[in-house]
Amino acid sequence: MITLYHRPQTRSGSIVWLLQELDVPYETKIVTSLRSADGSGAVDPANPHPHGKVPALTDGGETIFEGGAIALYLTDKYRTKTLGPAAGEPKRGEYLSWLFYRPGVMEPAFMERRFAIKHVFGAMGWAPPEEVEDLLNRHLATNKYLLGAEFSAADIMLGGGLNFMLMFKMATETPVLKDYCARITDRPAFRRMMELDAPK
Amino acid sequence: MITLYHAPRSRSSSILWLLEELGEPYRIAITPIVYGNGEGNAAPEGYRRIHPHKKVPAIDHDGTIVFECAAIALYLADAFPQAGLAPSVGDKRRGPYVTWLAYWTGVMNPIITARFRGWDNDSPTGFGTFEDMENHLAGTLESHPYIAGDSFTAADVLVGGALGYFSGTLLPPRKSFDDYLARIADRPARQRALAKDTG
Repeated sequence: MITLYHRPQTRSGSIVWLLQELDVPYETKIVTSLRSADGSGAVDPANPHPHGKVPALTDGGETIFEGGAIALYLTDKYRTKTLGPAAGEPKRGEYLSWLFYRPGVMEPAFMERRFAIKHVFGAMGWAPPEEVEDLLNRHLATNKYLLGAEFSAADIMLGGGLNFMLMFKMATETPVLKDYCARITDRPAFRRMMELDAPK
Repeated sequence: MITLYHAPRSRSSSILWLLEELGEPYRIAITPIVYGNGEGNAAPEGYRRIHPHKKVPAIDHDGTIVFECAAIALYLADAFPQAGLAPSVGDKRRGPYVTWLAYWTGVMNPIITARFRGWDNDSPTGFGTFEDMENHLAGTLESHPYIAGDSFTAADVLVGGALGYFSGTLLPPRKSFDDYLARIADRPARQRALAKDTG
């Protein structure tokens, strides 16, 4: 049985969305407390994440954390619906590149902007935020989804993150990015996630 | 055929090591980059076809382009399972394996950069604290010999590579780190990669 350690309205919402898309049985354990970014605050002892963050997921005896790892793990193992090409299939390379583009490039680039840190080429393993926005605008101007014609878990992870950043004005809104986010969130599984996550 | 877009002694060096572990034929395309100290020159604009930000590493495997270290490691280790560098899908060890590759990308890399550049002094970065990362690495390496369990995987190339680079400098030395680094340092593929990483 899959167990998702989740806290509503946080990053782990992407995994709720993904599980709803895959339509596999799972249970949700709500993490009651999180540590804040500066390390203060209590960790919920029931949360298996080593840093007390969400999402974390257990499946049988395995514990998986970090959004990109969970998305890849789930889409490789549960093929109820194809949400990413398997190893050996076309577009596997693109799928992996975009899945890891979010934590490896997009997140730190926007963090750099938020903290007004000057980008030093070569010293950072990512690109400056303007280049990230430029690439996404160019790519999504001619592609319906990150992998082209087919929706994948990369759209949930990277696209879902982008949707959040546009909402909170951390990324620059353009017609291309706005249309893309409207496209990926106009899905039954996204709406189910929003209902499940709504304040009760 | 695999082509590695590589700049000597840079972030692509770990993929050079991975390719030596893999044992498949490959060629190296030396690619200009700007190094962290400001030296070097950026690659020509045409290189964006391979890497959208003109960085290294990137690979071309029979026309499939992959960038981002963890994505490359996952791609290659799955494409050539006979090398035994990745637990397969359905194997109990797959979870920790993908977790460590993602952890290297999303946690270790930005936390180490933040500490190295000194920008986690005043305000939290949101990636987590340096000390949490250190404790998680140490706890893991105290419980099994390799980062994702009892055997060497592609995750050791990335995590071990970073640890080797920063242990004793940014990361205070620890017995568990030293023992682990000694275990992976002697690998023939590692030695071959070091010998090739010149120029």
